[in-house]
Amino acid sequence: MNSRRIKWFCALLPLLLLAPLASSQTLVLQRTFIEQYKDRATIDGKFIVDHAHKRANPGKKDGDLHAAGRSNEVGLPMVAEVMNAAGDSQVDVVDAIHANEGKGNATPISGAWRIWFEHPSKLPQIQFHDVPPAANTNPAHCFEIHPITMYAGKPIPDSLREIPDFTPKDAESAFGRYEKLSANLEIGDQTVTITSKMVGFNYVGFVAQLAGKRESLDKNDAGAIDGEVVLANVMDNEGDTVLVNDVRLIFIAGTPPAEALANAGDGATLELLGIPRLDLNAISAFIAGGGSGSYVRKLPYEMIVVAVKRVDGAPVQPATSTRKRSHS
Amino acid sequence: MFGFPILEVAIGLSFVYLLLALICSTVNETIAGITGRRADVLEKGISSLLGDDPDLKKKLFDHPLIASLTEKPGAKPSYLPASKFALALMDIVTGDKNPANDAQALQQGIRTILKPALQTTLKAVLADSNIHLKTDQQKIEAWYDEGMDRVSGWYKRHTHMWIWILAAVITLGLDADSVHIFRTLWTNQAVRTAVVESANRRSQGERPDSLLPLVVHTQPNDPKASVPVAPHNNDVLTDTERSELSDLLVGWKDVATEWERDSKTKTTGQLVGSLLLHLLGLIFTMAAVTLGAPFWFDTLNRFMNIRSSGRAPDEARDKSSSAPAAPATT
Repeated sequence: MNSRRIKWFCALLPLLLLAPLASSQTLVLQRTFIEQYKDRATIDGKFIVDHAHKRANPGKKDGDLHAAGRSNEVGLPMVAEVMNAAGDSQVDVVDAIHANEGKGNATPISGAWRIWFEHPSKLPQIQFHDVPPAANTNPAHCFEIHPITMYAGKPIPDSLREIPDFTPKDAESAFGRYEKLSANLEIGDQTVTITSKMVGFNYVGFVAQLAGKRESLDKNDAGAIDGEVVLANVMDNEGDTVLVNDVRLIFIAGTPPAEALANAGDGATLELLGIPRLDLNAISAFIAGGGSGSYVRKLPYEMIVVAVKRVDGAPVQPATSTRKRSHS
Repeated sequence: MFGFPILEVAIGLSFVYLLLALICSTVNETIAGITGRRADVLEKGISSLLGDDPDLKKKLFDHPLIASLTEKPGAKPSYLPASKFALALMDIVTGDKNPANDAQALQQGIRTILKPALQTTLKAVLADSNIHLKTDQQKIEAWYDEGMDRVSGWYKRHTHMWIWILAAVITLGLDADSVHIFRTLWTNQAVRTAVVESANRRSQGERPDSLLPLVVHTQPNDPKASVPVAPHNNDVLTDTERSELSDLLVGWKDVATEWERDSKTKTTGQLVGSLLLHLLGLIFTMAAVTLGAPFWFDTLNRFMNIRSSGRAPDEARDKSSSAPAAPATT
C-alpha cells in the first residue's frame, strides 16, 4: 500500500467519527387518549395560563404568542400558541390570555392538539401524572395546542392564515428531516411510551397534490364535525418532485384552510403552510393490527394545515392584517 | 464506471460496514430480546433505589400494581411509571391495615420496616420543601424519576457497551480488516465493480428497520384507514452480498498463511509494521460498525448520489441511476 493510498484511506476517517448527537424525549401517552384524538383535529378543554409572552413574536420569527400552562384534559406539560397573534382579530384572545396569566384560572380553550418532540425534557413525561406549574413561557414540553382556535369563548379561526414577513422552512429540508426520524415505541396494555430525538421544523411551506377523497374527522366535544382529513403527495416548493406519498393533511373546521379545501377539486394541487404533529391514527392502527411490545420505527407524522396560499396556482387568501399594539 | 475509483472504494467500504452493522444490530436485538436487558437494568436501578434490600424489592415487584404491568406472571416489567412505583412502595411501607396515603403510617413504616440507609433517604425525600411537591406520593415520584434518569444513562451505556462487544466479536471473527478491504477494492477492479453493483441494489432497497413506517395507506379515499407494516427482511444478507463480503474479508487462515510466507522474506520491522496495520484495520472496522446500519445506509446513499451526478459524459446511464428516487411513504 503506497503513501498516496494511505492518504485516501485517512481522508475517510472523519466519516467514521461523526456520530449523530441529539437529545431525546420519552413520552408516555394513555391509549385511551390516543383512541380519543386519533381522528380529531382539535382538543377542547380548560387551560391554566402560568406564563405568557408579553407580546407576539415578530412576523419574521413566526408571529406566534406563546402561553405555557396546564390542562386536565391534556395531563402533560404544555404550551398553547396563538397564530398571527398581532392580528386585529386576535386582540381579544391575547388580552384574555394576559388577563389570566398566573392567576390559576382554568379557562376554556380549543385548538389543534399537537404532539411533537421539539422541546425535550431530560425526564420522561407521563400523561395524567401531576404537572407542575410552568416555570417560564417555554418549559420542556412535547404537547401543544397550536394553533388556538378559541380561548375564553372568543373564537379566532381567521388566525389560520399566512404569516406576514415570515419565511417558512422549505419542504425538502423539513420533510427530509421528518422522514429520517426514528422513534422507539413501547406498547403496553394501557400506555404507549414513545422516545424520539428532538426535532424542530415547525412551519413548513410545501406543495401537496390531493391523492384521495377527503373525509370528515370525528366530532369535537361540542358535537360538531372537527374538520377534514385527506391523503396527499407532498412535493418540493417548486412542485416538481414528490418528496413523500400519502401524508395525512388535517384541516380544522371553520378555518380559512378548510374553506379553501372545500373549494378545491379532487386531485387539486395546493400550496400550503403546515405544522407537523405525531400521527396518533397510525399508532392506533398499528396496535389494532396486533402491535405490542417494543419497536423502533419511523416516527409517524401528519400535517396540520394552517394556511392555503394557492389552489391549482390561483391565490386564495390575502395575508391577515396586523396592527401595532402596546403591551405593558 | 471507471471515472472515480476512490469514490467506488468509498462506496465499497460503506457497503461492507453497512452489512457488518446489520449483522451486529440483528445479533444485538436478538440477545436483548432473549435476555430481557431493559428489564434487568430497570430492576438493578430499583434495587439501588431501595438500598439493595432484596426482600423489599421482591415485595415491590410482587405488588399487584407492578405485577399487572407484565404479560407473563413472574416476569419483570421493562418500564415502570413513577406513580405506580410510589403507590406500591407506600402501600408496602404503610402495611395492609392502612391506606397507602396515610402519612402517619408511612412515617411509622419507614422507621420500622426499612433498612437504615433507605430510612435516611426516604426521610430526606419526604422532607423535600419544593413547593411543587405537595404530597408524599409526589415526593417519592420525583425521587424515583431522578433515579430513573440515572438508570436511563446506565441502559444507554450498557447498550453501547454491547454494541462495541458485538462489533469486536464480528470484526475479529470475520477478520474484517478495513486496510485489506481498501486494498482489495483499490487494486481489484472486478471485485470493485461487483461490490458497487450490489451496493447500488442495497441502497435502492428499504432502509434498515429503524426507519420502517408503522403503517401504510392502501386506500387513498379512506385516510382514516391504514395497514400495519410488518418488519421486512431487509436485515438479512442476500447470497450475493454474503459472497462479496467473503471475497473482501481475509479470513484468519489466509492471514496465517501470509504471515508464514512473509516471515521468510520480510525483516522484523516490516513484519511488525504489517501486524500494526492489520490491527489498525480491525480497530477501524469495529469503530465503523458501532455507528450502526442507518448511518451507513445514509452514507452509502450519499456516495451513490455523488456517483450518479458526477458520472463520465460518455458513460451510459443505467436505469437505476436515471430514475427519480422512489418517494418515501408515511
